[in-house]
Amino acid sequence: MRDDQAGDRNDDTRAAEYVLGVLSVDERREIQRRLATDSALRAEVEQWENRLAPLMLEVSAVEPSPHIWRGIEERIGVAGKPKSRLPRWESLFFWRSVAFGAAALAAASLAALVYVGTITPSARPMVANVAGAQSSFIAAIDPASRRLTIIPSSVAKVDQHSLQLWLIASGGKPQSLGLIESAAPVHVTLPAQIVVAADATLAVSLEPPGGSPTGQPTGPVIASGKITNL
Amino acid sequence: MVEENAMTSDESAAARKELASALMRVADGDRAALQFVYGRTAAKLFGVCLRILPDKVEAEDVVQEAYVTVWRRAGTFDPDRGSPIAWLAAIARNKAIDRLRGGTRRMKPLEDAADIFDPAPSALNTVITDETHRRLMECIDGLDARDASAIRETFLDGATYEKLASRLSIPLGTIKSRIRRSLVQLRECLGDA
Repeated sequence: MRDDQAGDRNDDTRAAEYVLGVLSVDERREIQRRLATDSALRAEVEQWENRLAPLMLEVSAVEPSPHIWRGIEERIGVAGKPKSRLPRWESLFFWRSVAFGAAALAAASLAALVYVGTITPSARPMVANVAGAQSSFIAAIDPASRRLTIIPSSVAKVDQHSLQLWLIASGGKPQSLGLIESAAPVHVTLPAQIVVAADATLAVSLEPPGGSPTGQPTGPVIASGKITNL
Repeated sequence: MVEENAMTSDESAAARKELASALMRVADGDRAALQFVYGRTAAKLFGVCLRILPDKVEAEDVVQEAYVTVWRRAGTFDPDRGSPIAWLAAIARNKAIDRLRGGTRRMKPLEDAADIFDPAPSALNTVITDETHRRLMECIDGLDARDASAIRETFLDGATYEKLASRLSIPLGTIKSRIRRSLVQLRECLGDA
């Protein structure tokens, strides 16, 4: 990684360049990707946004025509709005309340994904409450980037077993999404051949160390839940 | 310095607070609050987008996208970490710059955009105090004059290093190191925002 030896000072310059707007499309994407997980970089960017914002005083205001507001009303009507005062995907407070400890880190990165605009209105995030008698996880999928994040909230002792995550399309066979952790969030990029639909199910099974030898679940399913659109 | 701008700062603090609390209500799904935020900020943000994307239709589209984003992500705004206007501006500028970099925009003469400029001061100007602007300008004026105008123009029109280099007819490496040096200097001058 380019910034490894460079340290904080270079990241600060990078953040400043990003906010100033001089970076190329690839460089911007790289920053936007990093913003999803790098809270120090996010803080630098926010500081620069605040430092440079007064420059906007030099831009003349231009009254947009009335159809602009009507267009916004239409778009938010179509996009639908979560019911008032319910916890929302976008809300940091929501994530703070559902996720603790290590999970909070993943929650912050999910919120950041939303913040930096990687989740577009055309691809609303999907979530699943993957729960069983003694173990539960929260999963979130960004259909645009095909990234799934699964956060353990409470998991029974797994001893020497591995936890394997499965996606089961409605009426289909389980497809492995790989091994996950019992005490840390895991990010998975969904393979191209896997279709994620809102009625699919996510399940976690206990498998021998290293995962199921057969490509299908061999051990007990400790948690499962349907994927829903937010 | 607090003395001489006391009025302005008070007004500005009140406007900022009002905008921040409206964003909190937007996070709760309050459409009227979004309309309030729009009423206060749209003219400024549209102006900002038009500088980056002189094509009016593109700029309009980006402004719409920006407020749809505000609607959906108002819950991520944290008043303890920055001003509401910086947050709103960042959303609009990032969308405009990403659109500009996308290279898909249709070209249209600048004059068309100039026709619709409205010099009326935006309510937003009360959110950014004269004081914060003055401090930033003092720091910018402390830079080499050429670098100062490069920083100012780039922030407003979103030019890449490459574009800046050809605009100023200086080598890419030179402009990069000058801008970077200026940014470091600015940070030292401004301190933590």
